[in-house]
Amino acid sequence: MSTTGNQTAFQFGLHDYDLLCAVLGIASIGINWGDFSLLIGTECIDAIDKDGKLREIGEFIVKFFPRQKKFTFENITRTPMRQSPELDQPTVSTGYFHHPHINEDGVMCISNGNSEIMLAMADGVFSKAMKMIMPALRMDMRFVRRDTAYMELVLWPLKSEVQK
Amino acid sequence: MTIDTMRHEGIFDYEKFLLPIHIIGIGGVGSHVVYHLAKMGCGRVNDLHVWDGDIVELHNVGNQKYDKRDVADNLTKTAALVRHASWWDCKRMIQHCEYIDGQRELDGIVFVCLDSMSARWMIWETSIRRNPAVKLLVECRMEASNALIHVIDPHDEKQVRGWEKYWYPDEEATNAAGCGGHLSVGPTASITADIAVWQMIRFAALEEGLDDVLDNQIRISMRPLRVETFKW
Repeated sequence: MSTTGNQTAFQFGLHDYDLLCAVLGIASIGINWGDFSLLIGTECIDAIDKDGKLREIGEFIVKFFPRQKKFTFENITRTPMRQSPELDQPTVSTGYFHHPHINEDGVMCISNGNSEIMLAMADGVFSKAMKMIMPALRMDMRFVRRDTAYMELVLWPLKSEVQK
Repeated sequence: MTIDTMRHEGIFDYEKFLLPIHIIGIGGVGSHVVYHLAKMGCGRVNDLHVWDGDIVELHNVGNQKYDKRDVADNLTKTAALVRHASWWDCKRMIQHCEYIDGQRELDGIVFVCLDSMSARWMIWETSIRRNPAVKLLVECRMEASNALIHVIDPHDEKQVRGWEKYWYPDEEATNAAGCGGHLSVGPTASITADIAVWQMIRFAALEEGLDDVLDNQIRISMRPLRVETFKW
């Protein structure tokens, strides 16, 4: 890349940095030069279950790997409870799930919107990607027509219980 | 009795368009692409190749161009479209009932409308990129409420690099095994196919000398409605 090209890229990146900082719920931004990934930390993510109760899922690190064209998630504060008293049947965990829609490998299942996130990452506009990712993390089960999560949201604690 | 194409001949004249057309993947978007092409007269003079290894299932009827008769007759998608096409005077539809797993003799216009991103790459790498016989690639990707179309001259290095930049691997595309799979909505499939076919119409007009520059990337969002175009 020429000097002018580098300058343009840096200006573009700095502008996106400002936009990224303005995305609601973002707590920190870092770069891992080892694997050339962009790490974005979130504030604690809450989600609403089908009964309208607020549940605390945890704080996440969203990792973008532009060269490998992938993004992953890590819940850094909380694993789901293995059994929920609110479920009739005891639930057997099949592993460490970071979020109802994120598997053990940290891959989010986004059946609609994934390609737009991939486009934003290819464009280098991470603020746009995060604007799509944050609502996906803060799910509202009252408006979900077909729940096909890996783990049910009720396995995560109620916000009120956490605050006690 | 033959379908009269006089209503659109001023925009697209199938008798002048002799390039073969391949549609790879004839599900949500692909079956709609075939439908429009056939109704415009493609497959009367030129060859219309349809590629897919699936059979028609009931869940396909809700968002694709098939109907319950195709399911009842246990037809493959290619056989079903050949049957439908005969009602649209498309006599030169050539069916390839297979999943492409390597190099194939593609030529003319190629519509790629598959689910799998890895299959797209394989077809691109083995049969499209810098293949002198392929004049235009129209590649369609679709989710429930958004779509992406690439219109690529596979001999233009900048466009080749552009397409490769925006390709991404399957592993991150959907996690179908966990969450019930890919969502597909008929109107999104249809509008994606409509716009994709329009790019071929523009290409045909360009070949006839019309002053136009094709858009290389078209981003479509339904919610809110937005269409963005990019030229590389």
